[in-house]
Amino acid sequence: MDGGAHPTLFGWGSASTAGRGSGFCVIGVPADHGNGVSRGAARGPASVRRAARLLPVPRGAGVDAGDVPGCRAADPETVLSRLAEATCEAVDGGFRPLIIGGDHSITFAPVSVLQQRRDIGVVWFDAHTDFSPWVEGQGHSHKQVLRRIETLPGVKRVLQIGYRGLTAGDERHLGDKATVVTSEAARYLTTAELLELMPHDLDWYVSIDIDAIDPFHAPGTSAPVPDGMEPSTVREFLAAIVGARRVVGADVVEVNPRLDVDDITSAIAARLLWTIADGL
Amino acid sequence: MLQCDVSERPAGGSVVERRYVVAPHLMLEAHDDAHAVVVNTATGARAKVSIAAFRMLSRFDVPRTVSDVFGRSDEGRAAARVRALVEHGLLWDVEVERPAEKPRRRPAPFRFCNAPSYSASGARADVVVLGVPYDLGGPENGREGLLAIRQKSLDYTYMVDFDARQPAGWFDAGSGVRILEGVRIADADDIPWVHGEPQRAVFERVVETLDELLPVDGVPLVLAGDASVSHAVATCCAGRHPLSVVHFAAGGAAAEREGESVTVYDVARAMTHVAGVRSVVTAGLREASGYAPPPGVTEVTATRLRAGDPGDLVAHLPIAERVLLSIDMGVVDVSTPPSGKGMSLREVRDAIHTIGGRHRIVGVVIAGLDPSAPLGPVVAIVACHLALQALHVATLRRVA
Repeated sequence: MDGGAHPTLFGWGSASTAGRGSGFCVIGVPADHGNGVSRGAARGPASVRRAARLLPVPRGAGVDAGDVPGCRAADPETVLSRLAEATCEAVDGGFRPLIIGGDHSITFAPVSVLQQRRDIGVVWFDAHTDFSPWVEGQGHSHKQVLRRIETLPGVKRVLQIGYRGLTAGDERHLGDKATVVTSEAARYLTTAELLELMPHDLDWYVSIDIDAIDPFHAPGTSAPVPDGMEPSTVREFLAAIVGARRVVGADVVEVNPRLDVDDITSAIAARLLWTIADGL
Repeated sequence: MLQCDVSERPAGGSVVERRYVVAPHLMLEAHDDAHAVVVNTATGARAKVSIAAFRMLSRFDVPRTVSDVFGRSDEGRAAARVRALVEHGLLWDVEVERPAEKPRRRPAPFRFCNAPSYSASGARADVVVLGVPYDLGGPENGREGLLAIRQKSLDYTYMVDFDARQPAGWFDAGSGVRILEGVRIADADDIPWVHGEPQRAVFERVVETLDELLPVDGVPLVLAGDASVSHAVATCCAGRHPLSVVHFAAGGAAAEREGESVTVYDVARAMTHVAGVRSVVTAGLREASGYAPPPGVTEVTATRLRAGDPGDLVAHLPIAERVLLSIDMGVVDVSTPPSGKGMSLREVRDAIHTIGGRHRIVGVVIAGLDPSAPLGPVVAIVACHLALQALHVATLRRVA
């Protein structure tokens, strides 16, 4: 794994994904080839780790395995296969992957690994549904990643939270597995109602696209949509999820330091990861 | 495109003695071995001519007679071709006086939401988009704001339903309704603004152009450099029907005038003097302006809007009024994280819906966006949302 020059997340010890332990294993994915809108999310892992230095050490245990090698490859498939390998190693070692993106296309790798071991549900915080049409052979990207994830046999439930804005079609209905909670509906959603949407017999993977947050709070992202969720609301939801469900992995993606203002978006992303790690 | 036939015609007696020159604003746009396409940059008109005709045209780059160019022996045959070029407006007779033709509109690099160009469908449009890059009425660098809004608007592509052949509109995930379905939008590019010309001349051009372009019930969406332009839009709209103006701005806009030009500081006061404008409500002020508004102007602060009944905003308007919406993007709170001092997108949008629920919105101005400012690109997206929401409210009744 790369990334030795960066501080580790929350000051956790450096480790190889091949080691054994418990708690979270941080994996950085400095890749943004799956984002067709803008470059810059590849700088996310370093920026989020830096921002996390200002936070206390969370209660949950963890190690930081650095960044996935091979992220400079120009094709997303190489990045996905390397990340899948790293995820496998981490899970085999008893860890839960805690991934820092990178663009959102990378989430396909850890979810595809985890759903092979046990049925899972996926919580998808995002301003977009990422459900653009995709056919076999077409390039993988952050616009259709959830559509591909939903087809994985071990993914039994998808909970999309944060859809909003003006779109060509009504994207509130993404298939039998999926429930969409718009950003507007999320304002009035209690944590109890949220958990009712997440069967407790499933393990859950939590994926957070930072653009779920309102861009006046988190401007450093490539496809901002106004009128988003408050950071405190997302933190409240995350705390409820990690407190009441088995979270087998999580990620924060699409932080784009190139577009950020005073690293405020990286700081919010770090705090969201901290909320997950602290509540485990 | 005009197909210019320059085959030989009977020559008139006087053609050979007169001097001709290439029409001003004429440029070569494209050519191949057989034809050339020339465009009049003042009018946007294009003509396809043979290469032979284009070569002939090129020889009149300075005023010349036919015999100057072709010699005495060929002047008879050439005269017929020259006359054809004159008839198509490609060559001008130097001795004929004519008013200077100034370009009325200037092409914009992007069209709002990639909607059709006005020249293709504007006469049947429900909404006509016009850019006015004038920003000397305020302190901000707003002239580039139009470009930023149009560029960001490409994320919200205007599409026409394949079967119904009607504009598809957009789905608003927040409200769960489809907006602007069946509403035809056309982008009429920008008003040219020559730096140094008086504001009055620019504003007259805005009024004349809107008068010319707007269908009877058409709604203008004017993307302006700064909010002083709202004065010109109000002049046009109030010339059709009496109306009131709701002007969203962070600061008071009813200061004493300090010169002839309208500014963002006094545009509300100035608009009360426009024939047909019955009242002006300035909404969203971050704090009270500190001076007594003149007759016809009411001020509602953001705090009062937030705390009170949204109807507070419309209470100051006559019943069943036509309303011009003027939105200075400075009204939006762009602090990071939001400080709550300005209005959020949601608050402005709700206010627009409140106004539209009781009155008829007849025009929309979006002004005062500096894309180079921190969060400028995000504010451009907010501007797109506000424009589309305002147009939705404005066109709701007529489409229904």
